[in-house]
Amino acid sequence: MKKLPKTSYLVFVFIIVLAMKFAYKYLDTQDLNFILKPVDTLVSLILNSESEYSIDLGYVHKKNQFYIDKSCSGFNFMLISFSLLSYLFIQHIQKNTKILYSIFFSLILSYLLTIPTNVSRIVFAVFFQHHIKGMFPSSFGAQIHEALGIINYLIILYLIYIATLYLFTRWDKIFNIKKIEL
Amino acid sequence: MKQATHPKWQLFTNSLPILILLILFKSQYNIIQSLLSEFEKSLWFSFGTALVIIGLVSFFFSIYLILINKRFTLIPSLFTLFIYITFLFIYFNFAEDFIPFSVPNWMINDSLLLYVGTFLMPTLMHSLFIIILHFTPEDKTYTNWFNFVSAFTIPLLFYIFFQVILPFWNFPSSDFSQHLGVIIIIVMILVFLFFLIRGILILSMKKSKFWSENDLLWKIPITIILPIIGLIVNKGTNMIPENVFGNFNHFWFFVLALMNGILLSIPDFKSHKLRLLHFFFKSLTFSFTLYFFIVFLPFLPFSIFIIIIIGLGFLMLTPLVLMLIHSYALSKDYQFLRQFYHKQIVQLVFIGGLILIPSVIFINFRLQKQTLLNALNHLEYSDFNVETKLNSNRLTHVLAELENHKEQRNFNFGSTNTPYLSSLYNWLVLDNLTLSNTKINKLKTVFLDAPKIGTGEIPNTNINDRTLISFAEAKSTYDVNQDTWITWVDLQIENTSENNFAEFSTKIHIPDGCWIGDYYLYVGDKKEFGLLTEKKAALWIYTQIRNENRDPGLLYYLNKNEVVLKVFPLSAKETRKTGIQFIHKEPLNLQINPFKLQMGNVDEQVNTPNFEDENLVYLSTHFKKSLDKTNRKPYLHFIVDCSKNAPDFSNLIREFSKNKEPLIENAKVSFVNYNTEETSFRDWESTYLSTNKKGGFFADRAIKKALSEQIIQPKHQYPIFILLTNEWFNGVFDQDYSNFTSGVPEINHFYYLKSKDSIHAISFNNTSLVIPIVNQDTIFQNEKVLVYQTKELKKVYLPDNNEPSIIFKKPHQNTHKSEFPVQKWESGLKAYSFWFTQIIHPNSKNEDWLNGVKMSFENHILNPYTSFIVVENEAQKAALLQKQKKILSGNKNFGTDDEMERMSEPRIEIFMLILGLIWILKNYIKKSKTIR
Repeated sequence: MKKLPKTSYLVFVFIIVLAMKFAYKYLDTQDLNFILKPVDTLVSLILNSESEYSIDLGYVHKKNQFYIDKSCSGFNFMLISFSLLSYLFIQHIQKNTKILYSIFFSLILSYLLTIPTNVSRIVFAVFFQHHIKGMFPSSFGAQIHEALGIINYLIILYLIYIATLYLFTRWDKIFNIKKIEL
Repeated sequence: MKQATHPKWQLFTNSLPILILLILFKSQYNIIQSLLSEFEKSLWFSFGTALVIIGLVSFFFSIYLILINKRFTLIPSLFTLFIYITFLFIYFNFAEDFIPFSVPNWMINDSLLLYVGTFLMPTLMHSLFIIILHFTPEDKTYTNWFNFVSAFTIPLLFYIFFQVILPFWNFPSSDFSQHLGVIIIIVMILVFLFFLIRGILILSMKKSKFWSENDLLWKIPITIILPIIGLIVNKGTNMIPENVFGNFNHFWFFVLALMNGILLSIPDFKSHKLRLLHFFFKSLTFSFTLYFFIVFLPFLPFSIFIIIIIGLGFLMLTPLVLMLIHSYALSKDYQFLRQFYHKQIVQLVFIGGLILIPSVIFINFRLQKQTLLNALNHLEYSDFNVETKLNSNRLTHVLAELENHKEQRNFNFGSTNTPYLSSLYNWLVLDNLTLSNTKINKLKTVFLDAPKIGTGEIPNTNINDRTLISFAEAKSTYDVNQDTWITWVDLQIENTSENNFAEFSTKIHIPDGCWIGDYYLYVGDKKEFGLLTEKKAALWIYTQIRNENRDPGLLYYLNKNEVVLKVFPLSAKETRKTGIQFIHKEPLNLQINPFKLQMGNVDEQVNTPNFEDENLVYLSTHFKKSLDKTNRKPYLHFIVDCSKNAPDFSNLIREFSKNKEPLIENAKVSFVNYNTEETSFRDWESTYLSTNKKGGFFADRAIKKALSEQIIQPKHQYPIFILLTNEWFNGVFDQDYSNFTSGVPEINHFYYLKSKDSIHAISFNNTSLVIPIVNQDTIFQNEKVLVYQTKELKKVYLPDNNEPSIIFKKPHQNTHKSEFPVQKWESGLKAYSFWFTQIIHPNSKNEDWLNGVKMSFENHILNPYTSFIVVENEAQKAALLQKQKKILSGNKNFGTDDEMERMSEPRIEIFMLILGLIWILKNYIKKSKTIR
């Protein structure tokens, strides 16, 4: 089979991301239960806080005064980490079929990574809400919440990036494959 | 000093201030836009766009310079200076047209004109400084007298011109000559500042031999003497009003000025350790220098005129000069220390020093907020059984600081507040709202036993003497689906006087279980329906509009059974139409003076069922008639003043209780300072001995505590309150206790005992009504009340008043919308039980108050948290909604949004933008490393 230029795979990934983002618009909290449910279970476990499910609000944690709904699903993070992982795989792998498998693999991996990332983000945010928020003017609460989320995402994306590169070098050493500059 | 030409400074001095300026202007524009004509709107739009374009050009140019690693040089600086001066010149020419006279003053931020000066001056000064640096290379020596002589020639020239030439000059008064005049003044100011700053720069670079050998000769006057004189002069002299530039009278300003001067005058140490320490302290006071530099920046161009007029303009230049000397000293230290320490360490020392004072201020403000919140919560929102511990010295200090920062929040001439710091204070301590004088005085009276001061409210003489209701009519319909009566009461209000600005105001008694669902007022020929809004925001807007003589109507709860209706203005002999919609379960009588109206048709509905849920019971008038009557036994409840200066009341208690055995069998005694300690009559003497006399006499809390106990746990006895204090008006009371008296239908008064034989009755509905009692026995006569037994077998006592009653069973927990019944009347009842829970179980949770407001909005039923208001136009609506947003996002005491928080993830576009920036930065660093 003729080798396709890498750009075409990147475009393919881009289209998948766009389609997912488009679909996200029409999904509601219930449709996103495949991410929300595990996230809520872990958050409840870590914070020792029971949640109630409400159709309009999602998972409501009365004790800690917060709720997890569609906008908190971590779907955006899943899209970004999927883009990053696919990009790294496309750059590293040479064979056509393997690239296609790796894109599919990236999708599953990004879903699995989104859950702990989102849990850590929410746990930090709750911690912030209880201990640090009072030090800032109340009108800045939302901005600080978002800033904390961004910092959390950046750190984890960077770790994913480093870890993937490290695994590539290990992989190449074992299988004696020539290293590709990223 | 070369560092100053790095383009990053352009981002700080240009892009950031412009961004802030744009935000401030946008928020002002949003409020007044509906009052602007097409011309004024185009003016706002043109200036806004111009500012955005020059801001963006400057921003991208700075980024470009950073990326290609180039400096901000002479040509761009000249260009910036020219463009911004032109902008300012045109702006001030049109300044009057931005806001037309038709926009009322309360909608306009006072500092709007000053903003442009404050936020554009940094970029002007930065450009000027780069021009000066260009003409002052560091590798040359200079004779400095030329600069100073040139600088001071300019004020002299102005002086000669104004004193000698101007009187003899016959100006052709044309626009052209005026503009020319302004341009000449601007050029002269620039030249003046150019030579002055250059002179100081050369002095601090020690390029001039004499001055470098005798640097204390200029350092001591400039860094120590002038700043201190400046602070003293600002306190006020014969020629200069007090605090012209703001309140800098705090002793720390003087201490820091002296410390800063000494630190800058001390010669540089040879030892690098001592030098590092010296550097740290200089960084520490740099925040002081920076603060004054920023405060005085917008006034810099005017200093030249003050030099001409009174010569004191030099003092206004001190912050600028100090800033130059201080920055140069720090940059020299930095260069020296780099030889001994790692760059990052020196930078860390600098940042550590710089943020120390601001951090102390920040922490201090936060602690003050905590103290203030504790004290305020105790006044209104803390559970009656919880004691508050408070350090009165600290509260005295906090209140003094609060009054210092109060009055004008914005930077004005001759104001009592401190520029920027007061804004910071209002932001950090008060969430940008204000604490009324009434509340400050109440805090002082309750905690510090300060004498009571009148509220400062001018009694409204308009009420009812010139305006009256000339016509009233009730139209009822029965909603079969909802099983509810809906009655529209239409009113005509007439101003019988010749006064053109009469205000109509009346109280309307509404029975239990009757809600208000809508309100209207005719404005001209148009029937305007009321906007349901948060109560404080509506009251604020009403007062503002009243001051402007526009057309508002207002309806709000005074207590659970009384609403106030206000309409303003009524011109001479004018009649206006207004109306209120009532929602009620059964036919009711409504008394609106002088009319008595029947709401609902008695013939259509004879029997109304009661309503009961877990929180309360609604008993209909008809059902109440079938209840048994009973006589309860009274007992005495002494409320004893234990404030700081209170005398001993032991003898009075003993004497008064003599021969009153039946009344003292179950008697109680409350010992009251700012906390309340309640005990049975048997143990009063020992408790009295152990109670500390402190703070003020907060009788209000003791009375509310005792009355709410009567509601929560009704007994077959009821209390008669006897206050023991030397002067009753020294105590802190509410104006009205009607919300609390439903548990004791037998009594309408509490009593103040001055001596054994002198007793006065004070009305629960109006505590300013004090009546002497001649025959003490009348106090203890009791009347019959109705008795009702709930499902839980609790006996409740009700007034026999031919009206329905609501019985409180159990506190109402937080309610979410989905729990609300579909029936509007029942939703009103739920909201009522929620509100009433807050009244008898006050707590400091903000969300309850916020939920109360939300419930009212969701059901569109008025409740004690909200008001109906009719405003005249869209601008007033915008101002009202903005005020409401501010109040809903602030702490209720001041006028924190702790509602349930949504754990949203960051927006993808913002996250991608940040990722993109990191990517660019990473590539840039990689590239610059490769080049090196």
